[in-house]
Amino acid sequence: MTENSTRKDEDQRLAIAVKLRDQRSLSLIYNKYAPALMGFIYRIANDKEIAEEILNTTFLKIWNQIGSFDASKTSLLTWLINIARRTALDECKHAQLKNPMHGEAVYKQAGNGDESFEENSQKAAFDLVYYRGLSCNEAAATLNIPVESLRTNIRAAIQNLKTVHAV
Amino acid sequence: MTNANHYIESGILEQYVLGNTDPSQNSEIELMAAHHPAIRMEIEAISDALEAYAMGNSIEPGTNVKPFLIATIDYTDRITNGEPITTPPMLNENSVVEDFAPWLNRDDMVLRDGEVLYAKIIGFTPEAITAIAWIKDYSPQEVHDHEYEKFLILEGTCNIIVDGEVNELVPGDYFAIPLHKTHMVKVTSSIPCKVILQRVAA
Repeated sequence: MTENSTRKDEDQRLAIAVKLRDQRSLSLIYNKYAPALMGFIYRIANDKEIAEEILNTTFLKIWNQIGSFDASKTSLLTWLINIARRTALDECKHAQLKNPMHGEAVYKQAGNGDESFEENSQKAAFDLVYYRGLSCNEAAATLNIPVESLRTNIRAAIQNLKTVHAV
Repeated sequence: MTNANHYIESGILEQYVLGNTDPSQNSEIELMAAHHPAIRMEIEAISDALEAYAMGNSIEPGTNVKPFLIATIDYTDRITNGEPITTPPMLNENSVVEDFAPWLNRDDMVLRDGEVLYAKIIGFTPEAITAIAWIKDYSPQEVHDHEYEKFLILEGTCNIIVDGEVNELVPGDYFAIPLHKTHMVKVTSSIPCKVILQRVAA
């Protein structure tokens, strides 16, 4: 069995235990994934203290919404990231997003410091949807491209991630 | 099969994994995935890539985020399950361990195995949060600008260091952290230091 499938099998057991209200298993999920979620949230919030508050709220939601986690449809970490994204975007709306960007600025920012992507156009499309939670239509309008191209760019970006972060 | 490939190439599966598709698209995708193993595998591969990306960009959260989270969940669950709400006394220089006997004597107020910082909340009002807390080695450096943090030492010993000044504390001692001062707790006993911790709005 590969390392990745062992990780996911363990996740399934932890998720079932959390559904049965086992706090220890939530604590284990925290140990395993809080750093990944914190890294993700930090990219959105841009502030350590705010990011930690969002992380806290994210885990309260995980605890309260675990009943809707369906292991036959999604894996645990993917589900956690999607909750973290919604929570972060909700909270940052209140606190006003620090860097609302449009058009060219998005491309420029996208090029900075992340070597996981080959092309800025892919990274820009990916960022808008992955980190800023835009719908495909909104992201396409922001970048001034057809929605089909946007989806293709995001697909290319994720294809690229597969080779950079091979599991 | 062409149908499945076309579907994969369209980029819709990435949006599905990102939670960016609507319920009718979700049903369609799930139906397609049930009929085409290639689609199911692609969904998993996308999810794996995004998970690996997230793990590759990890940042360690502060060490006190988790104890506060677990304590909040524990307290909320206890109250939801019918535990009566109680109001522990406010901590001050005249406080004694005996004041907290009704809470300290409860069977469920115990340190959970494996945790280095652990707390059981016993009072939660707009004025103050009161908890029984266990510190195994140390609590990280903090500054509070909006709340007073007060301690009553129950078991074990510790040094509370405020702006470099060391305060050696033993069971029965009371200590209040001044606002705006960096402070940390360093345990000096072999057993975890057990304290009453109260945070009061400034």
